[in-house]
Amino acid sequence: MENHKILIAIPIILALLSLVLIGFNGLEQGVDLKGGSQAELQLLGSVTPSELEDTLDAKLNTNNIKVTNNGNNKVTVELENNINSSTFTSAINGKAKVISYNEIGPVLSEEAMGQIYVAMIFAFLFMAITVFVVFREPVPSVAIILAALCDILIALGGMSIFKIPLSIASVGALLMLIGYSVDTDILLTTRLLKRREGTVEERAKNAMYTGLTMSFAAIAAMGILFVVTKILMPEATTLSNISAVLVIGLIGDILSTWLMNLGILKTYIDWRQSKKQEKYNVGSSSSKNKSSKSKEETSEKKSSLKDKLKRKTEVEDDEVMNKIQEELEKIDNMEESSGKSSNKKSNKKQKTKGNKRKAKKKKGKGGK
Amino acid sequence: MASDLSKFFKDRQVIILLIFLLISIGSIAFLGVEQGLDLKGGSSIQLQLEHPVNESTMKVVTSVLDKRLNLYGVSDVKVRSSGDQMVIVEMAGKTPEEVERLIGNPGIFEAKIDNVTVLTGSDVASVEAPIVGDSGEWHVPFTLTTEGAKNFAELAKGKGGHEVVMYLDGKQIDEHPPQLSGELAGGEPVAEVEVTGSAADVETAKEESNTVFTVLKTGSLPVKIHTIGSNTVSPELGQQFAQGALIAGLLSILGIALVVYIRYRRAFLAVPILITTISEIIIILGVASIIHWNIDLAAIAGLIASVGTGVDDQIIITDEVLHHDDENTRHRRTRTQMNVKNALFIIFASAGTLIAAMLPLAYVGFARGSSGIGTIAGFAFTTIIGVLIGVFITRPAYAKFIEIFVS
Repeated sequence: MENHKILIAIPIILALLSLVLIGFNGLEQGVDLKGGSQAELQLLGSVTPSELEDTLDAKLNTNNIKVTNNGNNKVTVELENNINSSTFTSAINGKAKVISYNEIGPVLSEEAMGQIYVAMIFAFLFMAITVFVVFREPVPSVAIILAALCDILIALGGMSIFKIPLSIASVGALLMLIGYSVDTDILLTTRLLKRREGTVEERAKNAMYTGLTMSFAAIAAMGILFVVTKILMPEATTLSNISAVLVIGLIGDILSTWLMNLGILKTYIDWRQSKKQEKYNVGSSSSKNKSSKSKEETSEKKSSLKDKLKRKTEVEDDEVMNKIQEELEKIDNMEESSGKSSNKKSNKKQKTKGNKRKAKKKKGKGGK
Repeated sequence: MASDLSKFFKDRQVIILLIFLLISIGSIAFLGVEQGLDLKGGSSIQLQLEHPVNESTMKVVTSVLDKRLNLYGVSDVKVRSSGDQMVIVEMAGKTPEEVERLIGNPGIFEAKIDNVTVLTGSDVASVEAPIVGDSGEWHVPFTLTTEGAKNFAELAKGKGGHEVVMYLDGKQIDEHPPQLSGELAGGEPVAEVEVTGSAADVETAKEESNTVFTVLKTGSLPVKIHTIGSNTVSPELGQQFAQGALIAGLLSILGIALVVYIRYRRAFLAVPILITTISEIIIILGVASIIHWNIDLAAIAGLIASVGTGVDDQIIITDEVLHHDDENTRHRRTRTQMNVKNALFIIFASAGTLIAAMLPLAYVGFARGSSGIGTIAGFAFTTIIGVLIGVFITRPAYAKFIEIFVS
């Protein structure tokens, strides 16, 4: 019963571990954020990458030249300073052909960095506001936002481990991750809190089926994108970085949604139920008596009805209440027409009335 | 089944989807989709002005740069400002060295008489806007610095009627150079001078005078410019990117289809999800083609992102409907409709949050043009467009499909 509370800790611990990892291991920065130059070269003749490095070392007055072999006679060269491309081209001295060149001066990289912070902070803020507007309940909303935060931290941790640089592209991926993360969380929260059919466990299980399918579809798409990019066009780091960050983040999202968010919501529902039981002790005990009398089938029906009842008392918004009322009546009518025993029917109607009373009572309290 | 089919194709949402699809396919076929520099190959250079300038100065700067590049026969060049201190130049099919040589240095303006340099850019203090007469006569008045005027007077003494040939970076800009008027050949320094000419019609006159104006301006740009960054992708690499992205995209969609098939074990469901996904891509590209939105690698990533959330949403719709399919026998259609509504709530909520998260990025990008973060603004913008199209066009149509055929 309590194990869902323990599970909540797992994604949080992972997120904290990521933070520690980033602290110690650091995050690499892409050329677009730290400034400098990056070139994709096609080596000509029998030049080896190390020969090229030596040549560049000798000709360019810059430290920290990084040459990465991409296979197929292709290399990526990173320079700490921004060197204009004509200087660079004369430095490689015909040993290679430049197929792409990217030079970012400090002004540009600083500006990009600043803009990225602004964009990230506002993206997160806007997302949080939207979530609050949609759910209007603090605990589930905070849970969704927390899950998104965990996902981002886990993805950053993964970037630190796999040396994926923080760049404009990977920041884009992190924002995309917010979208995916919130998708599954909204699904879970809606299914658990805004639905009535089945028990909480059943609803959670169904939500999990849907959510995992969503996550795996996204992981499959991004995984394939990553592999294909790495094989066909290793130079297209925009795509490989975005897909790698998303795969890591999506795996993190599976944990944070189905361990943490689900755990928080279950705890929240339990807490809400116990609080309600305290408040309306008389009402709930009478309904318990009734359910113990009836057959198994009826008790099942009742549990779902109790759920409805619970839902109603929670709802504070008049409009939503009316809607639920309508739906309840619709279901009642449907059941009526399907010729269920009149006994059950009256039983239900009684309950509906009880509902109304309770809802009113609660509203009255809220008004004080 | 047949009646279901006709009902499906008569539905408003489905008709809207089909109309959008047709328009998009037509637009892609006739207008084409503009590719970004990283897909078609080319260079972009970010230039910074020494200090922030006002709008009109910025306009002079961009038009001067534009003119210079055109003088070199660089076609397909885009010069635009980004904020009040940055200029971005984009051109297709040029190597970085050429581009930087062209705009990395200030333009050198020279005027020569009998192959002797009489004026340079630094001698020009200011240039006034060209005046064009109705008969095709034009003047470009400009002012020389005191030093420049003195030099010019000495060098031009006694050369009235000689040709004054103007050069920009060593290239002659005018096939029919103007002649030095007698008043200027007297040896007395004159600060206020002008270049005059005449053309057959007003249009040509405007063009000619504008060239002279820009060339004179080039040497005396109101503000110093230096390169702060450049980005070049060779056409071959661009093509490789475009092809690679296409293959990766197709395989990703197949991967999604596979996961969906494994989950539901029904081709009946995987196929419409695939069709919806592909039509979403087509409509996004169609919109891009209509609004001349450049599709670059970042935009492709945005495309994949919005399509990814699209698949998520379709799975939600499918599950909402399928789940209740088993437990209820009567009144199934009403139930299905309710469930679709439930699913749409989740879909709108998550679309809202995604758009909210992307808006700041798109805003930053638009406010600053495509410098630095601009590339990622393309990503955000494409995602937003994709999500909007998905939420309002393709996903409701998919929901209709499920509503009619699955129940």
